Amino acid sequence: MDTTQLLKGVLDLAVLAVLDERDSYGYDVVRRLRDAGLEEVGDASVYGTLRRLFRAGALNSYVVPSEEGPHRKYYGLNETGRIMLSTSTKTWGAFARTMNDLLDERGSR
Amino acid sequence: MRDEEIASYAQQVRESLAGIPAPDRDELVEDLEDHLAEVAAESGEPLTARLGTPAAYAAELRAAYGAESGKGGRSVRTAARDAAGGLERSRAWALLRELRPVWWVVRAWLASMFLWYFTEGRVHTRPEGPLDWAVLLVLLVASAQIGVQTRDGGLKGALRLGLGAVNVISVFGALIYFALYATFGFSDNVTYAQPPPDAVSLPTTSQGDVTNLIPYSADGKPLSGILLYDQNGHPFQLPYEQFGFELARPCGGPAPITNSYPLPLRSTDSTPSPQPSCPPGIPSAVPTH
Repeated sequence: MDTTQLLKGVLDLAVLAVLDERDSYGYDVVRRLRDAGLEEVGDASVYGTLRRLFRAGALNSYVVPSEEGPHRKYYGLNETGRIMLSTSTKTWGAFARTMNDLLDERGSR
Repeated sequence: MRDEEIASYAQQVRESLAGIPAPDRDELVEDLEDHLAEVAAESGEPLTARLGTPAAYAAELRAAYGAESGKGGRSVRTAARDAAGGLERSRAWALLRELRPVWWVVRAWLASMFLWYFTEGRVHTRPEGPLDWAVLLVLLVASAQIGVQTRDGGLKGALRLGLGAVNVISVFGALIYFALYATFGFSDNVTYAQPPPDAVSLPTTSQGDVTNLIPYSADGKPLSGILLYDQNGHPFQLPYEQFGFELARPCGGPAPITNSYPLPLRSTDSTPSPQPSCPPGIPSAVPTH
Protein backbone atom coordinates (compact mmCIF):
# COMPACT_ATOMS: atom_id res chain seq x y z
CA MET A 1 0.00 0.00 0.00
CA ASP A 2 1.18 3.47 -0.84
CA THR A 3 2.13 5.10 2.44
CA THR A 4 2.18 8.57 0.92
CA GLN A 5 -1.54 8.28 0.20
CA LEU A 6 -2.24 7.30 3.82
CA LEU A 7 0.03 10.05 5.07
CA LYS A 8 -2.00 12.73 3.30
CA GLY A 9 -4.90 12.20 5.64
CA VAL A 10 -2.93 12.24 8.85
CA LEU A 11 -0.11 14.65 8.13
CA ASP A 12 -1.85 17.46 10.01
CA LEU A 13 -2.13 15.28 13.08
CA ALA A 14 1.49 14.12 12.76
CA VAL A 15 2.75 17.69 12.46
CA LEU A 16 0.62 18.85 15.40
CA ALA A 17 1.88 15.95 17.52
CA VAL A 18 5.51 16.74 16.75
CA LEU A 19 4.99 20.42 17.55
CA ASP A 20 3.16 19.56 20.75
CA GLU A 21 6.33 17.91 21.98
CA ARG A 22 8.36 21.02 21.30
CA ASP A 23 8.47 23.99 18.94
CA SER A 24 10.29 23.35 15.68
CA TYR A 25 11.25 25.01 12.42
CA GLY A 26 10.17 23.56 9.06
CA TYR A 27 13.00 21.28 8.23
CA ASP A 28 13.31 20.10 11.82
CA VAL A 29 9.67 18.96 11.64
CA VAL A 30 10.47 16.97 8.48
CA ARG A 31 13.46 15.39 10.17
CA ARG A 32 11.60 14.49 13.34
CA LEU A 33 8.73 12.94 11.39
CA ARG A 34 11.21 10.85 9.42
CA ASP A 35 13.04 9.85 12.59
CA ALA A 36 9.72 8.79 14.06
CA GLY A 37 9.26 6.37 11.17
CA LEU A 38 7.38 8.41 8.57
CA GLU A 39 10.29 8.15 6.14
CA GLU A 40 8.26 8.89 3.04
CA VAL A 41 7.00 12.24 4.28
CA GLY A 42 7.54 14.88 1.60
CA ASP A 43 9.41 18.06 2.42
CA ALA A 44 6.99 20.20 0.49
CA SER A 45 4.00 18.47 2.14
CA VAL A 46 5.30 19.31 5.59
CA TYR A 47 6.21 22.85 4.64
CA GLY A 48 2.81 23.38 3.01
CA THR A 49 1.03 21.85 6.00
CA LEU A 50 2.87 24.11 8.43
CA ARG A 51 1.94 27.17 6.40
CA ARG A 52 -1.70 26.06 6.19
CA LEU A 53 -1.95 25.34 9.92
CA PHE A 54 -0.38 28.71 10.60
CA ARG A 55 -2.85 30.44 8.29
CA ALA A 56 -5.68 28.58 10.02
CA GLY A 57 -4.59 30.05 13.34
CA ALA A 58 -3.49 26.80 14.95
CA LEU A 59 0.17 27.77 15.25
CA ASN A 60 2.18 30.69 16.42
CA SER A 61 5.57 31.40 14.90
CA TYR A 62 8.69 33.31 15.75
CA VAL A 63 12.04 33.77 14.07
CA VAL A 64 15.19 32.67 15.82
CA PRO A 65 18.36 34.24 14.39
CA SER A 66 21.14 31.79 13.71
CA GLU A 67 24.82 32.67 13.58
CA GLU A 68 26.04 30.10 11.10
CA GLY A 69 22.95 29.21 9.05
CA PRO A 70 19.80 30.97 7.90
CA HIS A 71 17.22 32.41 10.31
CA ARG A 72 14.81 29.78 11.49
CA LYS A 73 11.12 30.26 11.69
CA TYR A 74 9.89 28.24 14.64
CA TYR A 75 6.31 27.02 14.90
CA GLY A 76 4.49 26.05 18.06
CA LEU A 77 0.96 25.09 19.04
CA ASN A 78 -1.34 27.71 20.44
CA GLU A 79 -4.64 26.97 22.24
CA THR A 80 -6.47 26.40 18.97
CA GLY A 81 -3.76 24.04 17.81
CA ARG A 82 -3.92 22.05 21.03
CA ILE A 83 -7.71 21.70 20.72
CA MET A 84 -7.27 20.64 17.10
CA LEU A 85 -4.68 18.08 18.18
CA SER A 86 -6.88 16.61 20.88
CA THR A 87 -9.91 16.42 18.56
CA SER A 88 -7.88 14.87 15.74
CA THR A 89 -6.32 12.40 18.16
CA LYS A 90 -9.75 11.17 19.15
CA THR A 91 -10.84 10.94 15.51
CA TRP A 92 -7.71 9.05 14.61
CA GLY A 93 -8.07 6.72 17.60
CA ALA A 94 -11.62 5.81 16.63
CA PHE A 95 -10.62 5.35 12.99
CA ALA A 96 -7.60 3.20 13.80
CA ARG A 97 -9.66 1.04 16.17
CA THR A 98 -12.30 0.55 13.48
CA MET A 99 -9.69 -0.45 10.91
CA ASN A 100 -7.92 -2.79 13.32
CA ASP A 101 -11.20 -4.43 14.31
CA LEU A 102 -12.12 -4.84 10.66
CA LEU A 103 -8.79 -6.47 9.84
CA ASP A 104 -8.75 -8.60 13.02
CA GLU A 105 -12.17 -9.95 12.11
CA ARG A 106 -10.87 -11.06 8.74
CA GLY A 107 -7.72 -12.52 10.25
CA SER A 108 -9.57 -14.60 12.81
CA ARG A 109 -11.80 -16.24 10.20
CA MET B 1 27.09 28.57 -5.16
CA ARG B 2 24.50 26.89 -2.94
CA ASP B 3 22.75 30.25 -2.59
CA GLU B 4 22.35 30.48 -6.35
CA GLU B 5 20.99 26.97 -6.50
CA ILE B 6 18.54 27.77 -3.72
CA ALA B 7 17.43 31.04 -5.29
CA SER B 8 16.93 29.41 -8.66
CA TYR B 9 15.01 26.48 -7.19
CA ALA B 10 12.80 28.79 -5.14
CA GLN B 11 12.20 30.98 -8.18
CA GLN B 12 11.05 28.01 -10.24
CA VAL B 13 8.76 26.86 -7.45
CA ARG B 14 7.20 30.32 -7.33
CA GLU B 15 6.67 30.28 -11.08
CA SER B 16 4.94 26.92 -10.82
CA LEU B 17 2.66 28.36 -8.19
CA ALA B 18 1.57 31.16 -10.52
CA GLY B 19 -2.00 29.84 -10.53
CA ILE B 20 -2.47 30.67 -6.84
CA PRO B 21 -3.71 34.20 -6.06
CA ALA B 22 -0.81 36.46 -5.11
CA PRO B 23 -1.60 37.00 -1.39
CA ASP B 24 -2.02 33.28 -0.78
CA ARG B 25 1.12 32.44 -2.70
CA ASP B 26 3.25 35.03 -0.98
CA GLU B 27 2.08 33.74 2.36
CA LEU B 28 2.84 30.18 1.36
CA VAL B 29 6.40 30.71 0.16
CA GLU B 30 7.24 33.47 2.63
CA ASP B 31 10.29 31.70 4.03
CA LEU B 32 10.88 29.14 1.29
CA GLU B 33 14.49 30.21 0.78
CA ASP B 34 15.32 29.78 4.46
CA HIS B 35 13.66 26.43 4.44
CA LEU B 36 15.53 25.28 1.30
CA ALA B 37 18.74 26.50 2.85
CA GLU B 38 18.15 24.14 5.78
CA VAL B 39 17.60 21.27 3.39
CA ALA B 40 20.70 22.18 1.42
CA ALA B 41 22.80 22.55 4.56
CA GLU B 42 22.20 18.93 5.47
CA SER B 43 24.03 17.38 2.56
CA GLY B 44 25.97 18.25 -0.55
CA GLU B 45 23.42 16.66 -2.84
CA PRO B 46 21.70 19.03 -5.30
CA LEU B 47 18.24 20.13 -4.27
CA THR B 48 16.58 18.48 -7.26
CA ALA B 49 17.98 15.14 -6.12
CA ARG B 50 16.65 15.64 -2.59
CA LEU B 51 13.35 17.34 -3.31
CA GLY B 52 12.52 16.46 -6.92
CA THR B 53 11.86 19.00 -9.65
CA PRO B 54 10.68 22.46 -8.62
CA ALA B 55 7.40 21.84 -10.45
CA ALA B 56 6.77 18.60 -8.50
CA TYR B 57 7.75 20.36 -5.27
CA ALA B 58 5.33 23.18 -6.07
CA ALA B 59 2.52 20.71 -6.81
CA GLU B 60 3.07 18.94 -3.49
CA LEU B 61 3.28 22.24 -1.67
CA ARG B 62 0.06 23.41 -3.24
CA ALA B 63 -1.74 20.19 -2.38
CA ALA B 64 -0.59 20.33 1.23
CA TYR B 65 -1.45 24.01 1.54
CA GLY B 66 -4.90 23.41 0.14
CA ALA B 67 -4.87 26.51 -2.07
CA GLU B 68 -7.29 26.80 -4.98
CA SER B 69 -6.16 27.77 -8.45
CA GLY B 70 -6.54 31.42 -9.35
CA LYS B 71 -9.25 30.77 -11.93
CA GLY B 72 -12.36 32.66 -10.84
CA GLY B 73 -10.94 33.20 -7.41
CA ARG B 74 -12.15 31.17 -4.44
CA SER B 75 -15.35 29.30 -4.92
CA VAL B 76 -18.25 29.93 -2.56
CA ARG B 77 -17.85 26.38 -1.33
CA THR B 78 -14.22 26.96 -0.38
CA ALA B 79 -15.07 30.23 1.31
CA ALA B 80 -17.83 28.52 3.28
CA ARG B 81 -15.52 25.69 4.23
CA ASP B 82 -12.86 28.15 5.34
CA ALA B 83 -15.41 30.10 7.34
CA ALA B 84 -16.68 26.93 9.00
CA GLY B 85 -13.09 25.87 9.66
CA GLY B 86 -12.33 29.28 11.10
CA LEU B 87 -15.36 29.02 13.37
CA GLU B 88 -14.37 25.56 14.51
CA ARG B 89 -10.92 26.77 15.38
CA SER B 90 -11.98 30.02 17.01
CA ARG B 91 -11.73 30.57 20.75
CA ALA B 92 -15.47 31.12 21.15
CA TRP B 93 -16.14 27.80 19.49
CA ALA B 94 -13.62 26.10 21.73
CA LEU B 95 -15.34 27.55 24.78
CA LEU B 96 -18.75 26.44 23.49
CA ARG B 97 -17.42 22.94 22.97
CA GLU B 98 -16.21 22.88 26.56
CA LEU B 99 -19.70 23.89 27.68
CA ARG B 100 -21.33 20.95 25.95
CA PRO B 101 -22.15 19.09 29.22
CA VAL B 102 -24.28 22.08 30.22
CA TRP B 103 -26.24 21.63 27.03
CA TRP B 104 -26.70 17.92 27.76
CA VAL B 105 -28.31 18.81 31.10
CA VAL B 106 -30.49 21.53 29.57
CA ARG B 107 -31.57 19.16 26.80
CA ALA B 108 -32.57 16.50 29.32
CA TRP B 109 -34.49 19.06 31.36
CA LEU B 110 -36.38 20.33 28.30
CA ALA B 111 -37.24 16.78 27.26
CA SER B 112 -38.41 16.04 30.83
CA MET B 113 -40.74 19.03 30.76
CA PHE B 114 -42.24 17.69 27.52
CA LEU B 115 -42.77 14.25 29.09
CA TRP B 116 -44.21 15.70 32.28
CA TYR B 117 -46.55 17.72 30.15
CA PHE B 118 -47.75 14.70 28.18
CA THR B 119 -48.20 12.49 31.24
CA GLU B 120 -49.69 15.10 33.54
CA GLY B 121 -51.27 17.48 31.04
CA ARG B 122 -49.68 20.42 32.78
CA VAL B 123 -46.51 22.39 32.23
CA HIS B 124 -44.15 22.73 35.16
CA THR B 125 -40.45 23.37 35.30
CA ARG B 126 -39.46 21.44 38.42
CA PRO B 127 -39.86 17.76 39.10
CA GLU B 128 -42.81 17.08 41.40
CA GLY B 129 -42.68 13.70 42.98
CA PRO B 130 -40.48 10.62 42.54
CA LEU B 131 -41.81 9.76 39.05
CA ASP B 132 -40.80 13.17 37.70
CA TRP B 133 -37.36 12.75 39.25
CA ALA B 134 -37.02 9.31 37.68
CA VAL B 135 -37.91 10.68 34.22
CA LEU B 136 -35.40 13.50 34.64
CA LEU B 137 -32.63 11.15 35.76
CA VAL B 138 -33.16 8.68 32.92
CA LEU B 139 -33.17 11.49 30.37
CA LEU B 140 -30.04 13.02 31.92
CA VAL B 141 -28.16 9.76 31.53
CA ALA B 142 -29.46 9.28 27.98
CA SER B 143 -28.63 12.85 27.00
CA ALA B 144 -25.10 12.58 28.39
CA GLN B 145 -24.55 9.29 26.61
CA ILE B 146 -25.72 10.68 23.29
CA GLY B 147 -23.58 13.76 23.92
CA VAL B 148 -20.43 11.75 24.60
CA GLN B 149 -21.01 9.61 21.53
CA THR B 150 -21.56 12.61 19.32
CA ARG B 151 -18.51 14.36 20.70
CA ASP B 152 -16.34 11.35 19.98
CA GLY B 153 -17.77 11.11 16.47
CA GLY B 154 -19.71 7.96 17.22
CA LEU B 155 -22.94 9.17 15.62
CA LYS B 156 -22.93 9.32 11.87
CA GLY B 157 -25.14 10.25 8.97
CA ALA B 158 -28.88 10.04 9.46
CA LEU B 159 -28.65 9.52 13.24
CA ARG B 160 -26.55 12.60 13.68
CA LEU B 161 -28.85 14.58 11.41
CA GLY B 162 -31.86 13.35 13.38
CA LEU B 163 -30.29 14.38 16.65
CA GLY B 164 -29.53 17.78 15.19
CA ALA B 165 -33.18 18.14 14.19
CA VAL B 166 -34.34 17.13 17.67
CA ASN B 167 -31.94 19.68 19.18
CA VAL B 168 -33.25 22.45 16.96
CA ILE B 169 -36.87 21.54 17.74
CA SER B 170 -36.15 21.45 21.50
CA VAL B 171 -34.49 24.84 21.42
CA PHE B 172 -37.35 26.36 19.44
CA GLY B 173 -39.84 24.71 21.74
CA ALA B 174 -38.02 26.14 24.74
CA LEU B 175 -37.93 29.60 23.17
CA ILE B 176 -41.67 29.49 22.57
CA TYR B 177 -42.23 28.18 26.09
CA PHE B 178 -40.19 30.94 27.69
CA ALA B 179 -41.87 33.52 25.49
CA LEU B 180 -45.21 32.25 26.83
CA TYR B 181 -43.76 32.31 30.33
CA ALA B 182 -42.71 35.91 29.92
CA THR B 183 -46.28 36.70 28.92
CA PHE B 184 -48.37 34.52 31.22
CA GLY B 185 -46.03 33.15 33.87
CA PHE B 186 -45.31 29.54 34.82
CA SER B 187 -48.37 27.60 35.79
CA ASP B 188 -46.70 26.07 38.83
CA ASN B 189 -45.96 29.47 40.27
CA VAL B 190 -49.53 30.69 40.01
CA THR B 191 -51.38 31.18 43.26
CA TYR B 192 -55.10 31.42 42.93
CA ALA B 193 -56.70 34.33 44.67
CA GLN B 194 -59.68 33.70 46.95
CA PRO B 195 -62.84 34.75 45.23
CA PRO B 196 -64.28 37.95 46.62
CA PRO B 197 -66.70 37.23 49.48
CA ASP B 198 -69.92 37.99 47.64
CA ALA B 199 -68.98 36.25 44.40
CA VAL B 200 -70.29 32.77 43.73
CA SER B 201 -69.86 30.43 40.86
CA LEU B 202 -72.94 30.06 38.73
CA PRO B 203 -74.92 27.06 39.89
CA THR B 204 -76.59 25.19 37.10
CA THR B 205 -78.83 22.15 37.01
CA SER B 206 -79.53 19.82 34.13
CA GLN B 207 -82.54 22.04 33.38
CA GLY B 208 -80.44 25.17 33.00
CA ASP B 209 -79.29 28.15 35.01
CA VAL B 210 -80.48 28.55 38.56
CA THR B 211 -82.05 31.93 39.25
CA ASN B 212 -83.92 31.16 42.43
CA LEU B 213 -84.25 28.50 45.14
CA ILE B 214 -87.59 27.30 46.41
CA PRO B 215 -87.14 25.63 49.80
CA TYR B 216 -89.64 23.12 51.19
CA SER B 217 -89.81 21.51 54.60
CA ALA B 218 -89.53 17.72 54.96
CA ASP B 219 -93.32 17.41 55.10
CA GLY B 220 -93.74 19.28 51.83
CA LYS B 221 -94.65 22.74 53.10
CA PRO B 222 -93.10 25.64 51.17
CA LEU B 223 -90.71 27.65 53.34
CA SER B 224 -89.87 31.28 53.03
CA GLY B 225 -87.20 33.54 54.40
CA ILE B 226 -84.55 30.78 54.40
CA LEU B 227 -81.15 32.39 54.77
CA LEU B 228 -78.44 30.47 52.99
CA TYR B 229 -74.71 30.66 53.60
CA ASP B 230 -71.85 28.79 51.97
CA GLN B 231 -69.29 26.65 53.86
CA ASN B 232 -67.21 29.77 54.56
CA GLY B 233 -70.07 31.68 56.06
CA HIS B 234 -70.51 33.94 53.08
CA PRO B 235 -74.10 34.72 52.11
CA PHE B 236 -75.15 32.47 49.23
CA GLN B 237 -76.30 34.70 46.45
CA LEU B 238 -77.56 33.81 43.04
CA PRO B 239 -76.54 35.94 40.07
CA TYR B 240 -80.12 36.51 39.10
CA GLU B 241 -79.23 39.90 37.59
CA GLN B 242 -77.47 38.05 34.78
CA PHE B 243 -80.70 36.39 33.81
CA GLY B 244 -82.81 39.51 33.71
CA PHE B 245 -84.24 39.57 37.23
CA GLU B 246 -84.19 41.96 40.11
CA LEU B 247 -85.40 41.86 43.67
CA ALA B 248 -88.87 43.18 44.07
CA ARG B 249 -88.80 45.75 46.77
CA PRO B 250 -91.84 45.40 48.97
CA CYS B 251 -93.82 48.56 49.24
CA GLY B 252 -92.85 50.50 52.28
CA GLY B 253 -90.75 47.64 53.65
CA PRO B 254 -87.03 47.28 54.05
CA ALA B 255 -84.82 46.23 51.14
CA PRO B 256 -85.02 42.49 50.68
CA ILE B 257 -82.18 40.36 51.92
CA THR B 258 -80.24 38.97 49.00
CA ASN B 259 -79.68 35.50 50.49
CA SER B 260 -83.17 34.98 51.82
CA TYR B 261 -84.89 32.29 49.71
CA PRO B 262 -87.08 32.13 47.81
CA LEU B 263 -86.03 35.47 46.37
CA PRO B 264 -88.80 37.87 45.50
CA LEU B 265 -87.69 38.17 41.90
CA ARG B 266 -89.30 40.08 39.15
CA SER B 267 -88.21 40.50 35.59
CA THR B 268 -86.34 43.73 34.82
CA ASP B 269 -87.99 43.70 31.39
CA SER B 270 -91.41 44.28 32.83
CA THR B 271 -92.12 47.92 33.22
CA PRO B 272 -92.53 48.59 36.89
CA SER B 273 -96.07 49.58 37.66
CA PRO B 274 -96.31 52.98 39.32
CA GLN B 275 -98.35 51.43 42.10
CA PRO B 276 -96.52 48.17 42.93
CA SER B 277 -98.73 45.58 44.47
CA CYS B 278 -97.86 44.66 48.03
CA PRO B 279 -98.35 40.94 48.38
CA PRO B 280 -98.59 39.46 51.80
CA GLY B 281 -95.82 37.19 52.97
CA ILE B 282 -92.86 39.46 52.50
CA PRO B 283 -89.59 37.51 52.93
CA SER B 284 -88.36 38.24 56.37
CA ALA B 285 -84.83 38.41 57.55
CA VAL B 286 -85.52 35.75 60.15
CA PRO B 287 -85.60 32.21 58.89
CA THR B 288 -88.68 30.31 59.83
CA HIS B 289 -88.21 26.98 61.46
